[in-house]
Parts: sequence; structure tokens; C-alpha cells
Amino acid sequence: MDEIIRLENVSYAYEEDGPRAVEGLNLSFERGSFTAVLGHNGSGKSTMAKLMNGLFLPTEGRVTVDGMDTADEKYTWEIRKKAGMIFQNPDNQLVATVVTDDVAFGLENLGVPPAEMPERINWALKQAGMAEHAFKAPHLLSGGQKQRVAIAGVLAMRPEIIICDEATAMLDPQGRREVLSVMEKLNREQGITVIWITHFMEEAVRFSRLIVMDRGSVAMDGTPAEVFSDEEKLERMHLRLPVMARLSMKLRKENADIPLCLTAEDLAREAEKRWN
Amino acid sequence: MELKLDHVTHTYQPGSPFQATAIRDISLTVGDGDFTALIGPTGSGKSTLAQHLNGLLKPTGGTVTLDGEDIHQKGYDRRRVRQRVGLVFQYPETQLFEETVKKDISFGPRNLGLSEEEIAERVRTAMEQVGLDYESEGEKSPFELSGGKMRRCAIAGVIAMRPTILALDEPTAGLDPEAREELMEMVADLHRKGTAIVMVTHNMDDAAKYCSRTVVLEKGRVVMDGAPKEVFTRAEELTQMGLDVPQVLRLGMLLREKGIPFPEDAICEEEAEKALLELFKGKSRPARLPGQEGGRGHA
Repeated sequence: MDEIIRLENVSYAYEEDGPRAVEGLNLSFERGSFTAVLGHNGSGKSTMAKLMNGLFLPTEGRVTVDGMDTADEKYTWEIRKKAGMIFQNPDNQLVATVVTDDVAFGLENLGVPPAEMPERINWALKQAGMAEHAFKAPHLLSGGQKQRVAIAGVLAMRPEIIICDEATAMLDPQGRREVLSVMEKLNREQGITVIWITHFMEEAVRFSRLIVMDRGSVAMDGTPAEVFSDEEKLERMHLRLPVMARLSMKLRKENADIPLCLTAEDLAREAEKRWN
Repeated sequence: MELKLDHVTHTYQPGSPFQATAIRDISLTVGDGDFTALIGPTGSGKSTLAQHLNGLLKPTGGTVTLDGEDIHQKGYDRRRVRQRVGLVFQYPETQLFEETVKKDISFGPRNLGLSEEEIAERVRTAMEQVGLDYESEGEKSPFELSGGKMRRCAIAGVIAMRPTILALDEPTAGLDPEAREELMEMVADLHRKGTAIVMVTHNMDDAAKYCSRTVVLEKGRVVMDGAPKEVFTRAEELTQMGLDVPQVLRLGMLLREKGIPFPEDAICEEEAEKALLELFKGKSRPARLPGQEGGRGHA
């Protein structure tokens, strides 16, 4: 496996001698993979995210991003460039009064020559589907648009990894769809490794790998079909099945000839096969 | 009890270059026993409308009346509205401030000038109502609680005022699935015990499952108002507004496209389960060999 992020026996405590938010975590992510991370509030998801681009340094263990140890100061900037992060609140991430300036902010910090900037900014805005809003004021945009400006800001740095920490939690359904579609496209077309933290099970079914966190460690790790086939365990983790999965499982319990389905499309297709 | 918005319009910063009309000509009555979902895209005026329900904002046009009395008329004691209509903001846990859970919840009742016994009683029942333990959690700092419990503690502070109408602005935003389910069950229970509920939500599955009425706002106006079944069957219009439809409804549309007569008015999970079992009666699973069943082979 061509791994781009590796966590080895990683533990993290917010205070010295305090409880471990993350404990003995062993995990790796393949280059170009598309992974969702689930877990109840307080399960360690956000802590893990911040360990993956060096915002937090492990109390114990080791985190490497493309072979670079996050604890090694000489790699800090390189790692931040390589692994961008998008946070929950769109209003806390934008700094400038015009969209293009906001996207330029990171580039200025990196010391990118001004001549190179317009091209990188335009490319990033286009990728995020925000080109037509380039000269608008961020505060006049919708939540989903603001998050896409934040994504463009990260993209302009040409990252290989984007970590989204509940990036859709504060958005309306349309905003959620916009942001997730952009990330799907970036993964598919640009090969960007995506790590997507979410509480929405309906989003999770769209990923190829799901990791369920509980008490700071990995409790489940597999494809959506694998993870969602164990309803009891998910409930113990304070999670729930996506609506369609729960529905198909109930039908199975009633002995209906329906397999586990994750989406309405799946369930409709399986129903059709048995209808005729 | 009846709370009535009559042709209410609200314009922010009127007469300035930043003038913006958030809601226009809204007429809406909230009465006993209602459980209303307020849905609409971002910027459609849901939160502005919610703040008119307890007189927090003053309409720039129209009136808000409680049992026939204009709450903004001169001399009207608006504290009466605030007591009877509780408003829970988005992310209400950010407003927790006291040292202990009990103290935080008692803040409102204490302001009403109630006796210590009455306050304690109200705190106890409010905590019970939201599923917090009076003995073991009452003396804790609210900031030690889990995310879901912090939110329920903040809601308890509003419930302790014993409102007859409770308005909640996206009460489940940001909660994990279990905390969300617990919170919705708690709201449903309040409703069963007689509190009228108005809930701003983006979660159409919750709206379909719990609410008796759905009001849809678009660009500051009420564009649909009716039973969830009436509103959600107008799926195409809702989708055009950028809203979701309940997943069961989408399943139904897909099934009917394939010629399977799934009922058009099934909008929640229970209804879907019943309808599907009925449709597939007699088409049960072939018997399987032991060991083949389950397929839970996973770490």
C-alpha cells in the first residue's frame, strides 16, 4: 500500500497527566483514498484530525505524513502544505474581504511569487466551483459557498490531502451536497486523499472506507457495507444506521428477501429484482 | 392559548444601505397541541420568524398577538410572552454560564421571583424532562457534560420557565446520531405532555416522523403550510428550493418509477416498512445453510 499518512501507537492528552483523547491509535491512509471517520461526540475524531497535519503533536507515538514526522520542526510547513484542513464553522475560517484575497492569504504566507498567484487562485476557485464568486465579499455568501472558499484556500496550496472536520455540520442540505460533491470531484479528478469527519450517516455511505472511533481508538474499519452490517456494535458506539440500511435490516428481520442496502437507490434496485 | 402572527414583515436596518427584508407578510397561528416544523433554505427567514414568536424582535409591519393581545402594544408586559413562549437558539449550549447545572437551569425561574422551593421543584422536573439526573449531575459544572447533555441542560433552562409554546432553532445541529435521537424523543415527549412545539429544522426525516404540521419558508414568505404528507408530496418544488425530501419519499419515487406501487403518502420509516412488507408478502428469503446467514465478518 502506498501510504500517505501513518499513525503509530499514537496517544494524545490535552493536559499533562490528563485523560487521553486519543489512545494507542494505529492507522494508515492510502494515497488517493476516500475515507469517512465516524464516532460520537468526544470519541477523538477531531483530535485525530489535528494530529494528522501537525496542529497537535502526539504525546506518545509517531505520526508521519508522506514519510515526514510531524514532530520534526523542519517539516512543519511542508506538512501543513501537504495536508490542508477544513473546519466546522465557515465564519471562523475566512479572513479577507474579497474571495480572491482570502484564497491568496495562504499563498502569501508560503511566499509564492505574486506572478504565480492568479493562476493558482483561479484554478483553486474553479475546482471549488466558486470562480463566478471570485470578487464577492465572503460574508455575503451562503454557508456552503463559504466552505467552498475555504476549500479553495486550501487547494491553492496544492495539497495532497484534505482533512474535513465536520465541514458540513453547520450547513443546510444544499450546502452539504455542494461541499461533499466538490470533495468527491477533487478525489476523483485530482487524486487528493480525503479524510472526512462526519455525524451524517447518509454522507458516510458515499465513501469507500469508514473508520469508527470510540474512546480515542479505532472501533471499526471497513467498507460502508461491512461497517453498517453490524447494527448492534454501531449502537454501542452511539451511532445509528443510515435510514435505508435500517429499513432494509428491519425487512430482513421480518424475513423479507432483501439484502443490506445503504441508499434509496440500492433498496429500489433490490426491490425491483424481486418484484418481477 | 393562541399565538398569532398577522401579516408580519421584518426589515433589518430599514432606511440604511444595508436594509434587508428577512420575512414578508407572514400570517401564522400556533395553538395548543401543534408540533410545527419550520423548514426552508438558508436565508429564507426561519430564524427571524422564530425570534418573532416570543417578541424578541419587533415586526416592522403587522402584529403578533398572544390570546388576542398585541404583544408590542404600549404597556404590554412582554415578560409574559417570554414566559409562555420559550425560545431555544441554535447551539444553545454556548449560552451556559453558571457554575453548576442546577444554578444554570434555575437562572430563569429565579428571575421570575419564585420561592426557593418552587425553583428547586422546577429545576428538578426540567432536568427529569430532558433526561439529566438531578442527584448525580445537578452539582456538576455544565461544561463537564457531554455535547448532547450540555445542549439538553441549556434546553432545561428554558423548560424550567414552563412555557406553553417551545420554539427550537435547529436543536439537533452538530449532535451525533444517538444524541440527536435522544433530543428528538425528548422534544416529542414534551409535546405529548402538552407543550406546543415549533422547530426549525433541516432534517426532513425528523420533520416527517415527529411533526403534525410543516411550514415552508422561501425568500421570507410562507410558500407551503400543511400536514407533512401534504407538504412532502410536493417533492419537486422542495427539491427546486434546494431542500431535501424525506428519504422514504425518495425511495417511494424510485420504486414507483420501476412500477412498484409503493404508496405515495408514505413519508416516514415505519410507514415504509409496513408498505414494503405488504408489497413483498410471500416473497420471503430462501432458506440458507447455517453459517451463511449474517455476513458480519468484520473487525
